[in-house]
Amino acid sequence: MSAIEILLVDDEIEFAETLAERLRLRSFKVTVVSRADEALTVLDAGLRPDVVLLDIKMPGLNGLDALGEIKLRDPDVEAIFLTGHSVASSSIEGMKRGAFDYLMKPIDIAELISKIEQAAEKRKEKSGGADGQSV
Amino acid sequence: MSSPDKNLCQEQIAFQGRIVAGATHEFQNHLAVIKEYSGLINDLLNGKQADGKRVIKRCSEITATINERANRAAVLADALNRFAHRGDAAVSAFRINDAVKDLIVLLQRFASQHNIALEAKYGRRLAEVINNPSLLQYLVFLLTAPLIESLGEGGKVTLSTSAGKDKSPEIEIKAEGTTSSLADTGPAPEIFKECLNQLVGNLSLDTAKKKIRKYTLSISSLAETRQIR
Repeated sequence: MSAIEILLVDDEIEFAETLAERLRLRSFKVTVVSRADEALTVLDAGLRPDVVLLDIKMPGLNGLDALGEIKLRDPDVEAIFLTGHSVASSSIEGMKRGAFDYLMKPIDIAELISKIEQAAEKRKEKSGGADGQSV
Repeated sequence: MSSPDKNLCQEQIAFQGRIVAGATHEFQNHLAVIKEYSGLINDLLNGKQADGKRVIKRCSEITATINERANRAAVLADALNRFAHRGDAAVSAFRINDAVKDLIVLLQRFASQHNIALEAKYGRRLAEVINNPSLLQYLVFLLTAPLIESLGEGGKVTLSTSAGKDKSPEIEIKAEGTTSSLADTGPAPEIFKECLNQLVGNLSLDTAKKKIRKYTLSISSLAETRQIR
C-alpha cells in the first residue's frame, strides 16, 4: 500500500511544520501550506492528497469556505478540521459542509493518525477500490 | 445607573469577552506548538535515527523554540492579567504607554488574522495620569478594530502616544493602506460620547491624506470628577 498523502493547511506555520515532521517520521507524505488560497493553488497544480488537514480560522479564505472550494476540485478528498476554537459551532458547521471529522488543538497524535487512516480508507472506498483506481 | 452608562457597561463587557477569547485562542496555539515540539523530541529520541549527532542538534533547536514560545505565552499572560486588573477601580493612576502596550499585545492576533501590521510608537517621559484605563483601552479598541477590519491586506495601523497641549496625554491611531468603507457594526454614537465624557476626552479625525486615516484622542490627566461608577 502506498503512503497516505496529506495536505496540511494552517497559518500557524510552526505548528504545521512540526506536525508534518512528526507525520513524515511515521511515513505519511505531507505537503504544508499556510493559507487556504495556497492550498487551492497546489490542488490546481495537480496535487491529489488523500486527506486535507485544515485549520478553520485563517487570514483570507477561512477553512470552512476553503473546504467547499477544495471539494469542487476533488469531491472525494476527505478533510479533517484542526481547530483551536473552543466553540464547537464552527466545527459542527464544518461537518455539515462535508468534513470527515474535527480535532481540537492541542491534538493527540495517535488520535489524529487514527482519523487520517479512517479518512483515507473512506476516500479509497469512494474512489472505487484499492489505490483509488476507478472500476 | 443611567441608560448610556448601562449600555456602555454592556459594550465594555462584550469587548472584554472578545479580548479574552482572542488571547485564549492564542494560548491554545502556543500550547499546540509546544506539545508538537515535545512530541517531536520524543519521536526523535525513541526513533531509529542512525545519526545521533543530528538528533541532538535537532532537539537543541526544538528546545530553543519551545523556550521562545513559552516566553511569548508569558508576555501574553502578563498583558491579559494586567488588562483584567485595569477594571479593579473606576479611576486609577496609570501610564498611557502601559495601557497601549498591553492592548497592542492583545490585538496582535486580531491584526494578523487580517494581515495587518499593528505597531506602536511610545512617547517619552509621559507623566502618570489619573483616569479610567479600562475605558481608555475600550475606546482605543473601538477606534482601532474597524480600521484593521477595513484595511486591505498589507496595511498598517500605528498607535502613537505623546503629550499634547497642556501636557494631557494623546493617542494617535493611524491607518495606512487601501481602505474599504468602515463597517457600520460598532456601537452607537452615544457610546463614544459617553466614553469621551467619562474620560474627559476629545477625539478628532483627519482624512486629509489619501490612504491615511488618523484619529487623535486626548484625555484628561485628572478625570476623577466625571467618573460615575
